[in-house]
Amino acid sequence: MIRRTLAITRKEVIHILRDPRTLAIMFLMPVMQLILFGYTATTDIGLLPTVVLDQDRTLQSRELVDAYRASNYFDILFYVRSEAELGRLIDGGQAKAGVIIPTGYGRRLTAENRASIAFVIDGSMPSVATTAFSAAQTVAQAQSTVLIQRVYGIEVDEQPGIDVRPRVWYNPDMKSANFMIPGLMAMILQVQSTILTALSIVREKEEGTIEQLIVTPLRSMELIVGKVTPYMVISLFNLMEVLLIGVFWFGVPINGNILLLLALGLLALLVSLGIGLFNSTIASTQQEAIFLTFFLMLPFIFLSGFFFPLEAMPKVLQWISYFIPLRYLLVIVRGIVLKGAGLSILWDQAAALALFAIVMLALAASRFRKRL
Amino acid sequence: MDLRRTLSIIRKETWHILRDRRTFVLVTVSPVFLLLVFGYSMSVEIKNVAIALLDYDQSALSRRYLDGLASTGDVLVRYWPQDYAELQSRLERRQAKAAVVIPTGFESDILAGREASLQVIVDGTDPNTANHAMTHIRGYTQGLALEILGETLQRQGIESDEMIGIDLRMRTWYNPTLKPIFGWIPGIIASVLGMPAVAATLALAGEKEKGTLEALIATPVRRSELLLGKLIPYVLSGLLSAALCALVGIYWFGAPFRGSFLLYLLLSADFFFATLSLGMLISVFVPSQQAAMACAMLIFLFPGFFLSGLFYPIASMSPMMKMEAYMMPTTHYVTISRGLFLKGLDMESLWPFALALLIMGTLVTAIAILTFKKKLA
Repeated sequence: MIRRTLAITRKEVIHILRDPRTLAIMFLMPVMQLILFGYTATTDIGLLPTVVLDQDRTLQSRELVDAYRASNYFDILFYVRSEAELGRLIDGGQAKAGVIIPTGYGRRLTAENRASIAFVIDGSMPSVATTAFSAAQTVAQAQSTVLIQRVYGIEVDEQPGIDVRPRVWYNPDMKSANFMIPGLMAMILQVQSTILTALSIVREKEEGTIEQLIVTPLRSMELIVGKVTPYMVISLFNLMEVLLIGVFWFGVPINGNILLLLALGLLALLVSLGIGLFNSTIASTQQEAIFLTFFLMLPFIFLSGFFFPLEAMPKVLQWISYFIPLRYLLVIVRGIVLKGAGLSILWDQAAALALFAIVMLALAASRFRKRL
Repeated sequence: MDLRRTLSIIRKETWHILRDRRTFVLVTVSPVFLLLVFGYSMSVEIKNVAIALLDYDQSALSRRYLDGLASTGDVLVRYWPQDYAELQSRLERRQAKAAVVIPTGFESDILAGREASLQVIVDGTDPNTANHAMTHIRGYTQGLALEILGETLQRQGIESDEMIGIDLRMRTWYNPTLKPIFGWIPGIIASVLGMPAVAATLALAGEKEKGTLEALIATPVRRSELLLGKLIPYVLSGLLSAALCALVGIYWFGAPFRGSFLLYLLLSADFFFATLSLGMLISVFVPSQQAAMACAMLIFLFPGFFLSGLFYPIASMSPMMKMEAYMMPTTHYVTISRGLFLKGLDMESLWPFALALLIMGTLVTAIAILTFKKKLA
């Protein structure tokens, strides 16, 4: 049994090695993704390019602009003279926010202690707009406090105030790489290995060589195990690759137990194996297998909490997400890597993953036998 | 270049796309499918992010603070843990993404005219959500502090019937209700329309693997005619998909469309010209379908989401990333799509992006024709 399985594995390894360019791309793909996700995401929503229209041009208005600049949120790149110009900059996307200080701002502040300004936000970028909204308000409020203190001539320290002490847990520097890289590890375990598994079987089907394999005394289990083993090794290798680059290049801390991570990673690989095999029983050409996996995996990625917090999604999508194994894997990988969580916290996620592995493998195996 | 020969290739390729249902579905329907999935998953309303509140002070003022925070509607107060350990476990189990802790002495500090402090804890694993929660809580706290300051002054006999300060009048352009879904849809459409290029790359790589390309090369058809003849049917089916996506965006998601629809189709054709020629170039170089898929995803799909300015403003990227972003056709197409849907722009402001796409397309097609010759010579 083992001898026959090994023979298939050897055949598959030879097949992989004969096309070194494809092999190279398989290894390079995670690195490229890592660089892409790691670096783009570190920009976060840094400084927001902002345009200022100061129609007042007084000491007070300049003070307000300085307060916006000092907020570490708005990057004041442009000063314009008319609202039309401001509109053009925001239309063209060069500026995402605009401060309009009307004439009489300074005079009204001195006379009535109250003045208004307008703040324009480009609502076409929702990821930015809502945060910009709060940040703009915070600056105006802080400036108001300064004014009150000045008007009544009171010292800042002698008056009540509330000091917010922020604490960021698990990822103190709020580095996106720390968020993305564990996610990417989960994605590689799930997506890449599923595609590789499906393709390895379907290729034989497409080329008609599967019939030859069937007429040999091989059992279907031996065939499957023998064929997918090399790809599982490639996936594990990729996982280590991402782990190492993540730790040594991006400085992602591994707070939990690496062995637990690998053990649960293997469990996830079994799930991918099941899904990949299942796909291979449906698809008859490589192209079909690719499309099928693709269609399955894209919603997987987006509905699993990889990018967006699940609890903020519509209820229906949250229900769907329970059927997506990547969801559990993400909680596991992020939990171990960032929060140092152990099995006492993650057991339910691991159990869900195990259930998926059993169901998918059983389903795939029964279909596979029938197809043969 | 012979028009008749090019046309016959176009006809053959159109037949091919139509007959090969999967490719046709992938080119035309898959973007719509993805639009539906992403439309719902991205229009996440951050205000539904759960937070936990821990009140050690149990005073009138702390309750005012917490009730006020709960009623802002910007955050969803879901847990009122009894102690720190419970709060910790809520965060650890990802049930809450942020927490506010009010220490004992909060009220007495404020009444005594001292500065009181409170602790805001955010789960930093997802920096975007964390940032958001932090900004909201900070803004709310500052507003309340201002209110309390006013009341204290009043108690001290300082007349302030009208609040001193700066009144911020918010105007959100293009998406005044700030319904996230409107803002997202045009950008998502631009990103998912990278799919036709993925499909074309795969189909061409498949043809290469099967060897049917050789058969065509043996005919008197020239390389440029062959490539253009293959390109045009894909551009046309891409346009069909662009129209479908726009319809779903407008009628299903209710996104506004303020520009000219004809211009949308024209500039979409421009975009498909750029991406599909890039797909063709990839398929010339890749050794297998597997490799073609890896490359296509890496070039069309992920950058479409992360580099295109869909999530992260390009202006705040590093110079290196900025350059890469501008080299991606999707980046320009996202700007065009947002401009047409939300801003109602016309060619007067959109021409630089249209020109960039045209230059990319022409350049890449030229390279594809040249390398194609060499590769098969």
